[in-house]
Amino acid sequence: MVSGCGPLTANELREEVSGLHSNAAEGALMAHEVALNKSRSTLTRVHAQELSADNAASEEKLSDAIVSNGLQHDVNEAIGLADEAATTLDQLALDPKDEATAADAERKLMGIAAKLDQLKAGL
Amino acid sequence: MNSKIFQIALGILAAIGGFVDIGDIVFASQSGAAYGYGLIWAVLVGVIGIATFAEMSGRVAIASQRPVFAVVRQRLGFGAGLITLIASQVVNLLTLTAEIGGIAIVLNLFFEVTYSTFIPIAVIALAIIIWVTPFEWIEKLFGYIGLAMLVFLVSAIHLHPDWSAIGHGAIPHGHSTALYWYFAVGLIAAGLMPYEVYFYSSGAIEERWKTKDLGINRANALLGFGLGGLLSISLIVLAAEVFHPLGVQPSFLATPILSAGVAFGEIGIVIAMVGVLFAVGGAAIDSCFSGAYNMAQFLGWEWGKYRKAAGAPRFTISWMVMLALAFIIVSTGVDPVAVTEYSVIFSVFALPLTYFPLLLIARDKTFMGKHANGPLATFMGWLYFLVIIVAAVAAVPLMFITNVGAG
Repeated sequence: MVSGCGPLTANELREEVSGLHSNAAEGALMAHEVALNKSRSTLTRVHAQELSADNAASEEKLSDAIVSNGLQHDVNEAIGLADEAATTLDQLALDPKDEATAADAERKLMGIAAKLDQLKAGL
Repeated sequence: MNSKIFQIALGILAAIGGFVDIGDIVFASQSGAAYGYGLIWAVLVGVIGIATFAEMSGRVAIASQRPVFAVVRQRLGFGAGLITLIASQVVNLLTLTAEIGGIAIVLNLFFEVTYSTFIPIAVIALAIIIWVTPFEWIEKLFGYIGLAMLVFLVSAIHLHPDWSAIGHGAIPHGHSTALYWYFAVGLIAAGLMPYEVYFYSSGAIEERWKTKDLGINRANALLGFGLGGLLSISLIVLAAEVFHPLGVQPSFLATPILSAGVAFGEIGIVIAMVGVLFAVGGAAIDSCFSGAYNMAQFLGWEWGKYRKAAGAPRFTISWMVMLALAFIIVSTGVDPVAVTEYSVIFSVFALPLTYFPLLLIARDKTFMGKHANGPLATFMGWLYFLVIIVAAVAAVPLMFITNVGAG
């Protein structure tokens, strides 16, 4: 969690990136189920919106945080990936029954989760 | 035989409402996602503890025809009794708030309107159910439909768990991280939530149990709470199978429901939603009634659903006030999952004050006669009292160190 007082620490950023990774991985799992026609559209739509909103909140926190030069690049990368994941989750929420959209969303979200994992490992 | 089976409805409702409420559903899933099968032992510790105290509270209610809170006031006196009342009511109110939020979340997942639309609907539905439905039908409605939660058990088995790792996880073992102990304390506290015994012992009187029902009491405590624990373990196992390998940290009620879909597709999701809706609804009823029972029993008012509203007007007003307060709190937009995590951790303060007087009276032969605790119940009671004290001391530091479980 970004504390809001003092500059952002590497630990705080790692925690935030963990949450973003979790959202992306969960979104990918949900998209996988939709792609296999194994989900319920109401759950997919509502939960994709929840995950997207959580990403947006995280993005805002990171954007507002005071960042030391050493972490600026990592913070920017995390913000970019959070935004990309939120956009993909929003697409899934818009069309929660379309198997092709879901398969595409799964692929994108898995890629984002992998990048977030790498980012976390480097912190 | 048939009627005997139906007589364990009280235990099932108390356990499903107590063990697998919104907090426990998310908490168990989080612990499974974070530590695999490693925290199953904490649920077992909680199950044995709550079964011990529930059996004791039911026995005291049967032998003395007095529920737990009347005993608390008698043994602790007005001052300490009042502190217990305040601590318990805070936990009851926080729990009720969280459960109402949980009902609204599940209805939103079902019907996709908006979360805030379903909050007043949930409160009105609960008020109508409590007003018009006899106590035994409330038990059956929420207890038995809540058994749809068994979909999590079936899903966990369907996904081929690692049985030897489950066996290893059932044995208590240590870990170096504070987060692990935060989850351990939380799972134990969630199992021992005091509203479960307030509701259970008052329910024994609502159902007019007599000494011939001591066997029913024992069966309720063991089978009902055993079932609740099994469901809680199922959620841990399922999260260990589905979320742990992916690095998912469940923080939404939808996440555990999604795991039932991984096993059984849309039908799994629908059954899980029904189960969660009735488990969370049952917990709302448990905590709402517990709040009203506590007030009435502490202040010596007439109480009991069986008396009807006119026969126990202050009791009736109490549950209505509980519902109204919870409605106001949840309408402010607080996160129900976060509220329930605080209520679980805060409950550890109410636990010693609830279970200590119960333990004293249950072993008192002058009060209980031949139904007083035997050596095993006394040993288990004191052992668990020690566990509760340790949990109470550790809870708040762990909450701060782990940033309320955020890591």
